[in-house]
Amino acid sequence: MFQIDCPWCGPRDQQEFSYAGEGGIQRPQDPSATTDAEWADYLFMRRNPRGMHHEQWRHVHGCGQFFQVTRHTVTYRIESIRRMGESAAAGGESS
Amino acid sequence: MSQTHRLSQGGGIDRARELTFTFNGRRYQGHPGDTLASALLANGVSVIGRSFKYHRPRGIVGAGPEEPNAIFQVGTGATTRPDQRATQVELFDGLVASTSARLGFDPLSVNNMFARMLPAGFYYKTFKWPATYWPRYEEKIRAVAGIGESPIEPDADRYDHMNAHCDVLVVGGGPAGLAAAQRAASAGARVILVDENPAFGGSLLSGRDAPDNHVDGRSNRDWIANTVAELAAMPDVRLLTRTTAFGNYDHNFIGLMEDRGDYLGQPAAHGVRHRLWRVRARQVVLATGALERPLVFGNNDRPGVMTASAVSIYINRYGVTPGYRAVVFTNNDSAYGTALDLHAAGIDVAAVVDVRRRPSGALAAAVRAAKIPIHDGCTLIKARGGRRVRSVEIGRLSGEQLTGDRWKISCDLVASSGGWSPVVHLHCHIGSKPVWDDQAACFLPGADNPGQTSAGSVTGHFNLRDCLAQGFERGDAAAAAAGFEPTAGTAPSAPAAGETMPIRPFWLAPSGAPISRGPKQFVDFQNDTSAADIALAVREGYESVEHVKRYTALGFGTDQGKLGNINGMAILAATLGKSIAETGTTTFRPAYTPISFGALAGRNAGHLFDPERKTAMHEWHAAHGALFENVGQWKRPWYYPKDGESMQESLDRECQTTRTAAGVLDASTLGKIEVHGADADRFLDLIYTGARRNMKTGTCRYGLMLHEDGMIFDDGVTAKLGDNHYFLTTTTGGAAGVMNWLEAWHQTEWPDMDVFFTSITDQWATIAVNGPKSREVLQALCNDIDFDRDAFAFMTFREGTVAGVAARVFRISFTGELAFEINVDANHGRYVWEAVMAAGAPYGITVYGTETMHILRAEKGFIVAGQDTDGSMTPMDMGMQWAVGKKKTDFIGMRSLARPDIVASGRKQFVGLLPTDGTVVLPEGAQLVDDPQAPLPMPMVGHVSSSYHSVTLGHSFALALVKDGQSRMGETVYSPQPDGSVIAATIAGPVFYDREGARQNV
Amino acid sequence: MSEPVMESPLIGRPHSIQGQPADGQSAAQSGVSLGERPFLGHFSLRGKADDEALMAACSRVFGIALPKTPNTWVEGEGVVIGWMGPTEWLVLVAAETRHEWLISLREALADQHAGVVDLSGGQTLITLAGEHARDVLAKGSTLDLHPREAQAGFCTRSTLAKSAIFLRVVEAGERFEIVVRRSFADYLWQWLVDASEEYGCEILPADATLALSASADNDFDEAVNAS
Repeated sequence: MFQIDCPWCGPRDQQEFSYAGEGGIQRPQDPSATTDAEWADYLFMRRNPRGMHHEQWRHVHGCGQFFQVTRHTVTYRIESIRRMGESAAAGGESS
Repeated sequence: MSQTHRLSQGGGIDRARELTFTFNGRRYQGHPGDTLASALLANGVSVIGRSFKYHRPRGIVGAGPEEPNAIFQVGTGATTRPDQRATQVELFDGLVASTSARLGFDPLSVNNMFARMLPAGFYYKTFKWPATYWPRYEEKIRAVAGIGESPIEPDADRYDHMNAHCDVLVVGGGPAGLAAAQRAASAGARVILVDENPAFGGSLLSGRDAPDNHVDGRSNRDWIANTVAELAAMPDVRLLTRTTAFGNYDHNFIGLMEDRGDYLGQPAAHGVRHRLWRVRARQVVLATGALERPLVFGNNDRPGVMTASAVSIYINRYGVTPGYRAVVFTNNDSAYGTALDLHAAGIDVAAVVDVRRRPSGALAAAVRAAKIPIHDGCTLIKARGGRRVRSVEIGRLSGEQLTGDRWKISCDLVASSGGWSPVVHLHCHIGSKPVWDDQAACFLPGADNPGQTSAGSVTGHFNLRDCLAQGFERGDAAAAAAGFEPTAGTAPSAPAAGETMPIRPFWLAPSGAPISRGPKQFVDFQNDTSAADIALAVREGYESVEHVKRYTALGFGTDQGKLGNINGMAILAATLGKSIAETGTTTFRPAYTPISFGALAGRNAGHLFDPERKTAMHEWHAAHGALFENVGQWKRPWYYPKDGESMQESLDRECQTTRTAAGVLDASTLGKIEVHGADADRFLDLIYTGARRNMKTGTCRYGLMLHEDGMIFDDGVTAKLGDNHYFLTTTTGGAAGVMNWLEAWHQTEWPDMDVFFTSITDQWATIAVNGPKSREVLQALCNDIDFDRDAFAFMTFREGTVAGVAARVFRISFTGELAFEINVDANHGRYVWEAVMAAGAPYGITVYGTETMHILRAEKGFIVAGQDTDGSMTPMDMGMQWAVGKKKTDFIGMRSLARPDIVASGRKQFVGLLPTDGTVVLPEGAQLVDDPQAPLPMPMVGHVSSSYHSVTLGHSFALALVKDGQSRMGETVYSPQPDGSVIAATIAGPVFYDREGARQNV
Repeated sequence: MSEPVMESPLIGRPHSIQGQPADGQSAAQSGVSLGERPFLGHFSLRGKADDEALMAACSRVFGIALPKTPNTWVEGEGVVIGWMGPTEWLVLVAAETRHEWLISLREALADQHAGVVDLSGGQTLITLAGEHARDVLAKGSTLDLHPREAQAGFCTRSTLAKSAIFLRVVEAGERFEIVVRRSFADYLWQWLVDASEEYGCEILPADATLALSASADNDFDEAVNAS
């Protein structure tokens, strides 16, 4: 059971949160202009690394906000947490 | 039977009070403070079980969680508990314990005579064929093994969970743990101190009161009492005894199980039996101590062979001697303490057998001074005796081999010590590996886990002085790491340990015969795994410790190998010719000791197992005979049987009345979301397949939501309340998911849009009035809305007053009939519902439940997202192209609708099915085939998604998904049934009733 | 037509509105008191905290600024406002003032980029007080409600047992308010009664007023004193 430091509410138990997939995936500006391969890549391809992973979580039973988490998938150590739109550099200070 | 083995003095028991207990039907006496094990030993009971495989008689070996043999059924009836370690079961008056093993003559002890035919992997090798017989084999093996029985009756006791937070959690209340807790608490930290025993003190409780274990110059019991009292007086310290830290999980989350009832026989009134603590600690100090390993020699499982520390504990803590003539067998100094304990209790110590030559050190000197014979450079070869050890055979060692010089000593007790194994379990639960230490001949915790540290004998410091100092220091460090300034003070002091002699690792006593031919040398008592089994596994090609574990069952029991694992791994290493460090350990996983299902379930049982969500009209439904159906967590009325009606009769009545007069459904469970903000139009246009921007205020529109892969995931009605202001409905089960979906897209993809979503599912009670008389019913209740067909058109809504209550009335229909959905503040829900029923009475109005709702909607071919769709259906697959905005340039999922495999032929398509025999209802989920005679595996062309009998149509019908079904109208498909029958059905359009849709527009 | 009747979601638990102690326990030995404040006005206020015009309009209508600090609540004139999220506040008012508040709020914010959604029928408020109130919450909540961590003025959305809730700390460690969705209220009430039993639980009569510090000499204090 993780403890996640919500960038709005502070540290809370994992059960208040929901996992929201890999972070940093940008929806194509104009989907109809994408090739089938580009669209499939956006739709299906995920990194699933052994090590640092950039992911999104939502404090669904709290402030309701989505935010970015960098987490080690082996040790489960949470490296940094940032609000949506915050860059990694800014997040380094807030976490 | 009297307490033949109770010493005349000593121990922490209350001799003034006598407790009566029963073991295997015989009554015995003990005292408060006893464990079941100490009381049995006090009564001279030596055989307490039979071993798993060979049915050899077994006795008590240990005194704590490591006990492999004394595993009993405790209690009777609803509260009986299997798998209880007698060494940790506190005695109470009236305790009833039993073992299913035969303690007298056991016919299966014949297994022992044929032991060579029951090698490692015997079960795997023997019970392999035929594969289908395994369940029968398993049943027999289990019955023979006699592990225990779970209660059959419902459990009347209460269990709960407690979440706790602290700055410093200290696991283990021995000297190091007490010192650590005291330091952290005095710095102001919130501290939780837990210990599995009934009292704090740990190893101090099992020692004699002697100057060498005094702390700060006072007796160790005084020091314990003082320290505990000091801790108890602090407001932010929580002391938990009888509480086992069973698991160490991520981010300093520790699971504890507290016994609040078992030790009393039953919990206090209004109390709980077991409490599961879920602790989130800023810092953790693991002061889990160490467990003694026995030495492995021939027939080392004979009753009367115990660990040396257990013997000391029974003498010093319980005033019980497990025997009257002892031989102590050791490879290290600590067992000399046991020899002295025995001697001090007046028990004859026949010999100390030490594998080391010329043992030096303070304890050995004290033993010599006590005139106890020391046989140095010797080993026990084997124990003799059947149901009890009678003598031991001793041999002189030369290196690892016997010199041939052997002799015998008679005894009824063997106290053996192979050294100490730190309890690294918790440290290792979160993935850390223990590290082998050659010096201390044990595995030590590896590098500290984040936010955790270890103190005391778990770190390989086995003397009191070091443990106290380390606990003090680690307590300070933990408090500091949690942000607290340590106060001034010095560590509690104990006398310096005298001179010691290093341990000599000694894993397997030689017997003079090949390992497979010599006497049985047990490594894991609970699973009857012997040294020969491990050797055999290696001969058969197993190398990895994890594989050997599974092949030999080493460490598989309820004791999880606490006693035998390290010996087994060392023997494996020696057999493989590797070092112990190279061989490594198996993986340590929670739980450290077994925990109860009750504790795991806590309050999540019975009526509190899961929330039962109720609508505002729930009590009315219950009072009017509704049977309920679970829809997600909601309790929805399923149907309302009248006296003597079958289910189908009820449904027929509900359907017929609704189609011919009027019917009412509680539709409050539909998800409802209010959307507003300057960009609400734009946002919803991206969410729905159809356009929202061009809707007029006051109108409603049906809509589909797709996942980005183009598949339908929810549907509902959107009502436009005003400019950029909407009211959405979702499916009952989809409400939370849709809300999350909207928030996800807004927050992560289009955060600049000005739009807000608020869940209002619970705000509105929704009363759906359907049927040709629904207008009259509404008119009787409402005089400020014009219900004229054209003034209040289909797919619009009005605001007004229904039964005197402010309401929003939608003219939408899920039955195909003229219909109105009344939404009122849920606090008024039941009042308005009753008004509707009263107003409808002149028309014979009926109430109907979800089953009728399903029949009526299916007759119209209306889908239920999640029933007729399964996450793999596009709008085109469902024949719902009409719901997709033709002019739209983008919405979620739109691009995917042009992917090659989405536009290819061969996809399953939504159709109706008419069974050839109209009295037969196809089972929902049934697979469809073109040729029921085709060889297996039969090619499947689709499946049934909804299926009912229709009183309106006069026959059964179904909705289905069939490959290319929309171009196969009139063709026949078949559904083979598990009973061998085949149901034939004709493919038809999905709309069975009122195809032109006239009835809802009247 | 007769006057419309309102029903709280706890209608199925009669002792919740009749002020009876839970089974077999007297009020004197209660470590916990439970009660409902039904029919209060509950409004969701949505807008952006950096919208100065909105903040000013809110200050005018409430007589106090909206709380911008996460997880805090403030008290205005007859109103309690809790921070729910960066664009969301929960506004609680007494039952009898619900309609006037809704009208004046919607008027005051008509020109703002904001919305007010009435949730009064969809939620109810359960009070929990007494020396063991925190222990009862700990059985189903992972929040750290030690007075050191959660002082009066703290509020948050969270979960209690298997229900989503909004929790308000009225008095650190001793007095709490739980706002729960209507459909979960019956479950949560039963859960609370069950979890409280160990400590002795007194059920207070229903009270449709708002707990304000200005009127703190209400039954809460009696409950605490009695325990």
